Order: sequence, then structure tokens, then C-alpha cells
Amino acid sequence: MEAPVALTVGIVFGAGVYLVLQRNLLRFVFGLILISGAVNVSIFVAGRLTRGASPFVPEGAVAPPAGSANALPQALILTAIVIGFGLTVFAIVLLLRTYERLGTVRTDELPERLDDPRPVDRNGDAPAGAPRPRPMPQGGTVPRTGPSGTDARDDGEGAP
Amino acid sequence: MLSAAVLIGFAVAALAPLATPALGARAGWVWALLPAGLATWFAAQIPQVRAGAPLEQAVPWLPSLGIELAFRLDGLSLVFALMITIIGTAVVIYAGGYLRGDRQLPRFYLLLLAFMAAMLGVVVADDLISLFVFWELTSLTSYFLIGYKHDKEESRAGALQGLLITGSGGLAMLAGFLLLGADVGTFRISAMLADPAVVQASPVYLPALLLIALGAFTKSAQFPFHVWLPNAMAAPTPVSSYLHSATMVKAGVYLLARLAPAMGGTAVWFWLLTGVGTATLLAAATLALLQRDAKRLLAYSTLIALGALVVMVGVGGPLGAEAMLAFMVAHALYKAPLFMVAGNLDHEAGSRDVTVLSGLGRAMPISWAVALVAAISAAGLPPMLGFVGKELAYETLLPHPWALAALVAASAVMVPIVVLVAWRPFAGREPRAPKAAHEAPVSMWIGPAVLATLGLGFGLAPDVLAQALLVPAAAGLVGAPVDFYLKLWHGVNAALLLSIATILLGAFLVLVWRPLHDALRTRFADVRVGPAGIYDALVLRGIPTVAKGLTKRVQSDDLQHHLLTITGFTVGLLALTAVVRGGPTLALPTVDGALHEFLVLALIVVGALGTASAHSRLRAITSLGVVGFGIALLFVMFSAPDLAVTQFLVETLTVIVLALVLTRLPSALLRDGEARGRSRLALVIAATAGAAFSALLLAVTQTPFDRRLSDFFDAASYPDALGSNVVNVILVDFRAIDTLGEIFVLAVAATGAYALLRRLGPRPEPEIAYAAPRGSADPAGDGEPSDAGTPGGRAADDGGAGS
Amino acid sequence: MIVPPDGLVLGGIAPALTLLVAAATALILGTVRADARQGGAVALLGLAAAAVFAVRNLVDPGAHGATFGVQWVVDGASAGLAVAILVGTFLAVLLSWDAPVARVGDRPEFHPLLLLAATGGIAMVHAGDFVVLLLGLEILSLSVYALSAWRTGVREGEEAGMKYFLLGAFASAILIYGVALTYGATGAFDFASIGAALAAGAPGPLALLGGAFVLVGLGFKVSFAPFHQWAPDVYTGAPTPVTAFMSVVVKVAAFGALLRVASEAWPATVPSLDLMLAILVALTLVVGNLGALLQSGAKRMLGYSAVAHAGYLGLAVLAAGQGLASPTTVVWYLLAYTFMNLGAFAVTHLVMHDDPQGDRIEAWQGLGARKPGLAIAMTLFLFSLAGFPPLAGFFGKALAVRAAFDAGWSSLAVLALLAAVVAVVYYTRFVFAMWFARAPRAIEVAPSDAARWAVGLAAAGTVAMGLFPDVWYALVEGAGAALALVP
Repeated sequence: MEAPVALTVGIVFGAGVYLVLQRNLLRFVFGLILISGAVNVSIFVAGRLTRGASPFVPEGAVAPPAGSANALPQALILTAIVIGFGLTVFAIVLLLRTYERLGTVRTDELPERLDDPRPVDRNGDAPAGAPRPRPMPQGGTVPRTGPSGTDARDDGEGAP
Repeated sequence: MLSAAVLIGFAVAALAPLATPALGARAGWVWALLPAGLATWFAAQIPQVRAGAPLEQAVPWLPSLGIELAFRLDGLSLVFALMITIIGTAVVIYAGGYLRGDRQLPRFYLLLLAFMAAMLGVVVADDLISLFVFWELTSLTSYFLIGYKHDKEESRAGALQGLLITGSGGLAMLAGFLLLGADVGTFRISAMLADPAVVQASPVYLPALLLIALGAFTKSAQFPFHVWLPNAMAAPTPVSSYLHSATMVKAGVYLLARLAPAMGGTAVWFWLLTGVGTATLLAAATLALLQRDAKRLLAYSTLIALGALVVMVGVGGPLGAEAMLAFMVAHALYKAPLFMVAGNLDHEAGSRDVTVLSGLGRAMPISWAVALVAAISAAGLPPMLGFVGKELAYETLLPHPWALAALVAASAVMVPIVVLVAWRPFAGREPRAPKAAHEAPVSMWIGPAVLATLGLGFGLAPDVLAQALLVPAAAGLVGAPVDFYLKLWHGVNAALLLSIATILLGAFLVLVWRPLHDALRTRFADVRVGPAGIYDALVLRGIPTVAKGLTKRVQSDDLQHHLLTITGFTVGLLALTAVVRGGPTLALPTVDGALHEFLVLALIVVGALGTASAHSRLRAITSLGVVGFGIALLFVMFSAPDLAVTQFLVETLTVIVLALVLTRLPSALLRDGEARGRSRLALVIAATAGAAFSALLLAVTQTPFDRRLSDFFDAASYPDALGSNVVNVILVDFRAIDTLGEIFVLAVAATGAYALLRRLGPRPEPEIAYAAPRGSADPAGDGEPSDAGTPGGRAADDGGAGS
Repeated sequence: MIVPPDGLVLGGIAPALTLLVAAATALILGTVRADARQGGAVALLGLAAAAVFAVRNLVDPGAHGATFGVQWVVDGASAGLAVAILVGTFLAVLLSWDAPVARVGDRPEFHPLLLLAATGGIAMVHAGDFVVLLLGLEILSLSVYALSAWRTGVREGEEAGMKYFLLGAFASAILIYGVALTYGATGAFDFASIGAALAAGAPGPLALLGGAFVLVGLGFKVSFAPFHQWAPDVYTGAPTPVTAFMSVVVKVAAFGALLRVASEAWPATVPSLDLMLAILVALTLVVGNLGALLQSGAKRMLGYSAVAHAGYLGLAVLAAGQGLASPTTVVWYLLAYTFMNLGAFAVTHLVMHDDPQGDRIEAWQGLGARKPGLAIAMTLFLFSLAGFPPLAGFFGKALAVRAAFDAGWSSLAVLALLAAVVAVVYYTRFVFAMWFARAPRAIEVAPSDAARWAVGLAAAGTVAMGLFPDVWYALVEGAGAALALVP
């Protein structure tokens, strides 16, 4: 039964990756939730699946019966689930705060809305001199204006 | 004592910035006490060193790795140490006059004295790592010294160029040292010298030699790395005269001479050194004809001398050693005065352009006299030490006519150089200069005068110098005791005839200098080819261009771009591994599930796809919930009740929190679409990632499983911890620390979330206040439902597992 | 194998517990009293106490050994790295003492979060298995996420913090997946058993793939290229004291974890995992150094410089993982890095004062004339970062390169040396500006004596480690930093 479960979590993981690659941060968070679920189950599967034999020590015995489920990964997954929950809550809060302060949750709109006071060159490709619109690095449609003068380096001081 | 002699320089240098202002105009004289004292001390060691008992001292530095500051003073080191300190004394005094009143003089003395100490460290180090340390310190301090007049762009560029070329050469040298030391098993120079066969038989001999030679060639400005030296002329004159005559550039020659007994004597060594040295000679001689600035003229004459020295180290043998040492001392004694006189011209007459100045002899008689004495030595005329050195050099090269021819030609060029520097500006009746010239103060002529006189004295009685210093030094260069006798007049022989030819050729060059110079200048005026052009293209344009291109490619603002890089590179690494090591095998899986199991799996799939395609909040949250609860059911079916309970609780809480937060966001938030191309790309990547995820997981489950660890817990659970729920026993007993850590993860998440939410804005809404705040006050994380749920839920099962 | 928990050694965990107590105290105090300095004082006290325990772990051989099964390993490497983390945190608290980021009364969480992050880091370097490693990682990361999004005045911080978090969460998921695969192939979570299983012939390729995912997950934290992209943004966007803190503590913790995983869990999988690590190291050296070349802001330049140094550290880890160099090299380098990098950020913080643009190269012009003390300190830090002897950074780089030569990675070592040449350029640009350019205006630096203390202590550390490298080296080596290598 490992195979169908592995296939299923692969689909969950794929859905998560798809969401993460979207430009909407809300979707990103959904994607993270799916990915962390998929990863948890993958530990479970890696420890092998057992039906109907929980790792309990029966009354009067000193060890669980042979063939019981693997307890060790379960313990780890418990930890992982809780950590994942912590991350999720934090992600949601961060998302909320981003929206409250920046008014958007789309990553391609974020830089535009930042009234960035410091002209920092991100790519190192901007020519020294007057500000000019820079095209998005890839795929985007919104041309964005570099903050006042995106000069890369001070040619005077410049590296050699 | 030896270590103190090196390290005291750094200590005094550290005092310089504090004390210089108080010393005022006397600063130069006071600081000169340090090199003068050191020179005296080194001179006092001559008897012991001559007796063949070098001073040795090792200070442990990083003994765990066998790195120590080891010093050793033998004949070779002693010659260099004396040059450094004696010329250092003259330079320090000279700088006091030259830079009088300069606001940055305190800093200048700091750097100059530290530079001197580092130079001393280079020549007395007996450990390759120590040598490298001092070597780089000279690069560093000379960087500040060359860039001293930092208002000028030229000066800054020159400083950086010098640092880059000598610094990178130094790193190459370090690589060579490490390579060699790791193979030979010691970093002690004396140990390597004691056993040259081991070094030369080493499989890394050749790469190590090339790397070390690279360090020496860059430092000693050998072709094609000579470009930095003329540009370093932007330094103040005291610095130039020190760097050129006795220090910096001599460090490379010293290194080669020092390692000659261990690494020399092979064909590679010979051809590498003589080849590069000859190329330097010829290039420098040609380029010298293009110059008309007194300091630049001298810079190219330094290059000529350096080329000759490297050739002689390459030839080696007792004669080569003798010639090289005599030539080097002569060079130091005439080059420093010439530079200082050029500085006097600049300082007192306002220009260094030899075509502008003339007739200054009357105004500056002492400077002129010093210049003439030094110039005669530089031109290689008797009765100066320069003559002795050049004769010996010719004699050494007699068996190698091609190198000899180059040296004769280059030596001939020295004649017009010294005529231009020491004759033209002074001769004539009418003083011609940008400002009214007068003689330099005593601090600016006493040093050069003494040095030039020494050149004359040693020329008249060369054997005094030879017996005291050169014979023991030559032993260090050859690797065996050497004995020779030095005299001014060798009679009429081949070398003398060559000298006469040199002078005649030089006189001819003096006559045709003006037309030749003009012709060459118009021809090469704007050409930036050759090494200088390569430096420009590579360092000034090439590297920044590559850097820009690369950075543009890897660095982006875009979050998704980052993600794609991470996933893409991970996949690349995996593919590489699969190629290198062979991928995992994947058998056709057997499927043996019951219907309800497949229904649960189908539920999960539907939920996941639903989340991925959701365009409304409600649908997204519902689908997420379906996935979560499906996973919980999975845990139930496969014997993991604790996981199931936890998953149910966490999923419920997640959905609640999400729902609460989403009500604060506009409902249209999920409805915006993606560009179709992007969406398709994301789909492809996601499908690939999902498939890989499944395949790897499947492959893992098809391998035999090692249950030993799990069996241990099964077996130990009840006997050791009296718990019947193995999972809980693991969590609260065997791995209690995980659980503790887990609680703290939640505490941190709550604290962080609280901290972020508190400053959301001026309008505290109930939802925000609710999401996390109360938990944050309690790091144990059980004051608030979202935190308490999980650990508490698990604790419910712990009844029997009390520890 | 797992040992039953009868021989519990609480001394090993004492530094972490002390920090937790301090964090809780500071938090409670912060909610009651509105003066953040009390939180800071509690933090300093807690750090000092924790340092006492950590040093005791280092010098007292009786404290060594694994506790809680093998989950918490105490040896020279872990205790030494714990000391580095504590030193870094201590200096960061001093640096933020008067800073607005911690000063205002409504932010009682700042110091507790610093302490919790340090706790997470300490857990990571002591981790003997993947579970503790993950827990430490999340404790550290969550705290740092919150801290890096701290700055409220400048919105860049928000964006950078958010991206850092989202990418970090993704990287953590990759790491956990790698752990799952490794577990499936070897049946173990603890490094020693994984190493033993692999040496005994457990399915190599799968464990290797698991290892690749783990490498990517940790590579994100140590900012190996190309997983480094967050670093320059986050370094620039976060408040400078936070940047200073995370630039050293996160790096120490993540490299500590990588060192242990590489030398205990992976030695048996040598050829290909090492190849992957080598590729990452090479890429990191190139990308970090060339990226830094273009920057005109000190924080961003130091961000790339942090990437570049990850390359050198990776070199040392590579050699140590093959058992061909002492892990002490890595531990030594990380303490040196803590001093010099934190020091550089500390000076930057003072020079920037209240001006968000204050780290641009123009702002450094003439510092040598106006504030010689700060300029000398910054010169020391930058030259040390560039690797000039006899400062701490020289031994860091030299030992790493030497280790690479010893391990047979000559080409990487030569690349590292070439990269060091490029590094000279971008560090000296700032040195040049400080000493060789005229000040365009009067220079006003942040009025904080505590921050000056941080600068002074860091400078003393940078110089002392260079002049007396053996003190720290012998201490760590003597404590048995040689990790249990699987034959």
C-alpha cells in the first residue's frame, strides 16, 4: 500500500509547489501547508505502513506484539506536525501584516509599493545616472520605476 | 632577540601617530633612531654570522597546527636586513624634510615604520607561513604608502594596482607554499634547504615552483607584472626611493635567492628565471626611452636592475651569487640617492620633467654632487661599486650570450637615464624651473650623500664589503660555503671590453635621445597594449562586467525566481548524483489496498487539487481542510492514532485561524489570475516535482528496512519507562528533549507573531489581538488554545506513561 | 546506537536551559516594566551565565559525551560553537542596547527573541540527530524571521523579512523530506547510526539523495549560492543590530549542524555528496565575491561578503567531512568570523545613525579624520574579513585553504585564493573611503556607549585571535573536537 500513498503525497506536494510558484502570497501560504503535510506523510511512509497494529504494549506484556506499527517515525511526525503548525500560524500573521502595511499580497506588486528611500541596486545592472524604468526580471508585465537613481556603484570610488 | 628586532618595529610604529605631532620638525630625526639602532644591532651580528653560526629563534604561534613565527639570520638575510635598515634610516630622515608640515605625517610614519618592520620580517623569516604573513603586510602597508597622496586619482589607481598585483601574487605564492609544505612535511625554510633532494624529487615541485615564482615575479615587478611599479611612482618620493632601492621589489629577489639552494639548479628553474629576467630587461630598457619624468625614468632603471638580478639568481653558482649580491648592494646604494635627488628637484624646483629643468646646479650644488656620484655608479663606471657589480654580472653571463646581449643593451640604456636625471636638470648656466630653486634642507641631502659615498667607498675597497657580508651571503645563496675575493680592477678581460662597448653604445643613445624619444612617443603615445592594457581590460573592465552579468543572473527581487533557483538547482544536484553514483532502482509497485483506503487517498487528491485551483476563500479553506483531515484518516488506517488525533486538532486550529485572518482580507484576493505562460511553467515544474517526490519515496520503501532502532524502542518502552504507548514513551521519556524543543518552537512562533501583530497599526482589532498574543506572555506555551491543543492532546494519552 | 537515558548529563544542556530561563524572565519583565534595558540586562546576565556553562563543557572532559540518548552531543566542536553563538549574541545585545529597535517601551519581545534564537542555535550545534537539528533550526529561524521583519519605519524590511520566511519555510520542508528519505534508507535519525548504516552498506543512492535534500536545506541557512539570494536583501532590510546578530549566529549554528552531519552521517557516501558540496562551495565563492564587488552600501556588501565567507567555511567543512582536516578549523573560523563580521556591522550601525542611507560609501568618506577610533576598528574588521595577516580572518581563510589542499581539492583551493584577490578590492574600497577621501560633511555617529563597547570587544577579539590563534584552537582541539568519524 506504500505505492498509492506515495503517489498521493506526490500529488499533494506537486499541488503545493504549484501554489508556491504563484505570485499570490495567500496561495503561497496554502502551498506551504500542503507541502508540510506531504512531507510529514513521507516520513510516515518511509517508516513503512502497518495496518491495525498500533504500537501499544498489550495488558500484561512487556513489548508490543511483533508486527506492530513503527513507533519511531510517528514520534518524529508528531514533532513535525506541531512545528508545521507553528510555522503556519507565523506565516499567516506575516501575511496579514504584509497586507495591512503594504495593501497587497502579490509579490510582483510589492516592490512597486515600497516607497523605498534608499536606492539600492539589486541586480547590479543599472547604469549610473538618471533613473529609468526597469523591466521586470522575468515574466512580469508591470514596469517598475527604480527608486530615485538606481546607480550601481560610484564610479569614482569604484572598484578599480 | 631576533624576534624582538623584527617586532619592535611594529611597536614603535604604533607609537608614531601619538608622538609625531609632539616631535614637530624633529620627528624624522627621532624616528630614524629606530632603523639606525636596528642597523647597528644587525651590524654587530656580522662576526657571528661570518663564523657560520646563524641566529635562530622560533616563537610558537599556532603550535597545534605546527605554525610558528620562526626567524633565522644568516648571511643572506643579514645583507638584506642591513640594506633595509641603513637605507631606512636615510629615508626616514629624508621624509621628515620632504613631508614637513604635512597634516598626515603621523600616519605616514606609522605606515613607513610598519612597512620597514614587515620587510625585516620577510628577510629573517625561517618559516614559509611567517614569510607569507610579513610578505602580505608589506603589500598592505605599501598600499597605504603609495596611496598616500589620495587626492589624486592616479595615486589611488596606482595603489590599488600595486596591491592587486602583489597581493594576488602573494596568494599564489601561499598556494605554492601550502602545496610544497604539505608534501615535504615542513614549512621550515632551513629544513628544506638542508635537504634539497626531497624538495626537487617532490611530485609537486613544478606547480609549487611556478606558484612561488609567480609571487616573486609580481613582487619584483618582472615582466609581464611590471606595470604596477612605474604607476607606484605616484607615491611620495621617500616611499618610492625606499620601495625601489632596498625593500618591496627586492623581496621577490630575496625569496628566489633564499629558495635557490632548495629549488634551484634544475632546467626549469634556469629557463624560468633567466627567461623572465631577460624579458624584463628588454621591456624595461625599451620603455625607459619613452619617459621624461625623472621618477619614472628611475622606475624603469629599477626594472632593468631587477631583471638582471633575477637572471643572475637563475644562473646561480658561486659566481652568479657573488655577482648578484654585489650588483644588488650597488643598486641599492645608487638608486635611493637618485630617487631622493629627483624628489629634491620636485620639491625645490617644482618639476620632475627633465625636459623642463636645466641649470639648477648652481642653486642645488649638494644635490647635484650626490646625483653625480650615484649616477656614475649607476652607469657602471669605475671607481664605483656599480662598476664592480656590472663587471661581475657580465662575467657570470659569458656562457649565456643571449642573456649577456640583453644585459649589455639594457645597461647601455642606463647611461641616457642617468644623464637625463643627474646631468640635464643641473647643467647649464641659466636656471630653468617652474619655481625659484634653492638647495634642499640638510635632512634631504644628508641621507643620499652618505649612501652615495658608501657606493664610492665600497667601489674603492670592495673586498671589505665582500668579506664582511657578501661571502657569507653567497653561501646562503649557493647552499654551500663559498670563498671569493672582490677587487675593483680585474685587468683587461672580456667583461671590461663589454663595459667599454656599453658606455659607447650608451653615449650614442645620449646623442640620439631626443629624436628617438620623440619618435617612440608619437608611435606609442596612446597605445595601451601589452601587460598594462591587459591589466586594464581584465581588472578594470573584465571582472566588473562578469560580476554584473553573473549577479544579474543569480540575483533577483523575485520570490518565485528564488524558488525556481532552489528547486532547479536541487534537481540538478540530484541528476548529477544519479549520473555519478547511479540512480535508485524502482520496481513496479504492488498494490494491495482496500476500497476505503483508496477512497481516503482520493479524498486527499481532490482536496489538494481543489486548493491548487481555488479562486475563492471558502473553497480554498475547505479544500485545505479536506487534505488535512484526509491525512488524519490515513494515520488512523495505518496504526497511528496519536498522529491522527494531533493532526485533527492542528488541522482544525489551522482552518479556524485561516478563516479568522481571511475575513480581514478582501474576498477578491484569490481571484487575480496569473499570466498564462507563467501558469503553465509552474504547472510543469509542479508536476515534475510531485513525480520526483513520489518516485524517490517509492524507491525508499522498496529497499529493505532496518528496524533495529524501532525494535529497541519497542523493547525498552515498558521495562524502562513503564509506558504502554510506545509513541508517547518515546516522546516524553526517550526523546523528551524533542518535546521540550517543540514547545519552544511554539513559544517562539507565538512571541514572534505577537511582536509582529502588536505593531500592526493604530487600530487593534479583536482578531489580531486574538491570533496569538496571550500565549506570548507564557513561553511554556499553554496559556492559549492554539498552543495548548497539541501538547495537551498528546498528554491525554499519557496516562500510563508517567515518568 | 541509542543509549538508555540513565546517564543523563544535564551539564551539556545547561547553556540552552539558562538562556531559556533568561528569555522567559526578560519576557515577563518586559510585559510588566516598560524599560527595554532591563530586558537587555537580563539578556546579558543570562548570556554570561550560559557562557560559563558552555566554557565548562569545553574545558571539563567529564561533561563530554552524548546525553538524552545521542540527541545532544557535547564535545569540543559543539561546546566551542556554543561559545561562539553566545559571544555573538552578547555583542548583538550590547549593540542594540541604545538602538531604537530595542529601546522603545512597547517592544519587550526583542531581547527574548534574541535569546530564543541563540537557544535554537545552541541546540543545532549540539544536535546528535535530525530531530533536535530540526527543532533547533525552527526555533532559531522563527525568532530571526520575526526579528528581521522588525523594522517598521522602512518598508524594505517587511518585504525582506517576509521573503526570508517564506523561502526558509520551503527550505525547511526540503530538509525534512531529505530526513525522511534518509530515514527510509537507513532506519535511523541519529547521525552516528546513519553513518554506521551507510558504512555497512545501506542503500547508498537513496541515502545520498536524502543527503542532497539535507544539503540544500542547510545550504539555504548558511547561504550557499545559489540558495543565498535572500541574504543581501534581508541583510539590507533588517535593522542593523539584527543583521549583525543573524549574520553571525545563524551562520555559526547552520555550519555547526552541517559540520556534524557531514562528518558523522555522510563520510561513507564520500564521492558524490562531496562533489555536490564542492560545486556549491565553488559557486558560492564566485557569486559571493563578484556580487560584493558591485555594492556601494556597506550592509549589502557585507551581505555578499557573508556569502563569500560561507564558501571558505564550506571548504573547511568539505575537508573535515572527509576526515582530512580537523573540525576545529571550522570552529576556529566561526568564532573569528563572529568577531570580525559582527564588528563590521557594529561600526556600520554607529555610522548609519538614523539615516537609512547612511551605509553608502559616501557616508564613510573622511571617517578616518573625524572618528579615527571607529575607522581603525572598521579597517581592522575589513582587512580581517579580506584575510590579511596577522588578523583573525587570515587564519580562517588560510586554514580553510590549507584544509582543502590536504583533502585534495587543489582546484577549489586555488579558486578560493583567486576569490580572495577580488575580495581585497571590495573591502579596501571602504577602507579607502574612510582614510583617503575628504569628509563631505560633519560625521555624526549614533550616541551609544554600549555599541562602542561592542565595537571595541569585537576589535579586541579580531586582533587577539590573529595574534594568539592557538589559545582558542588548543582549547577546542583539546576538548576533543575530532568528531566520531565512521571508519
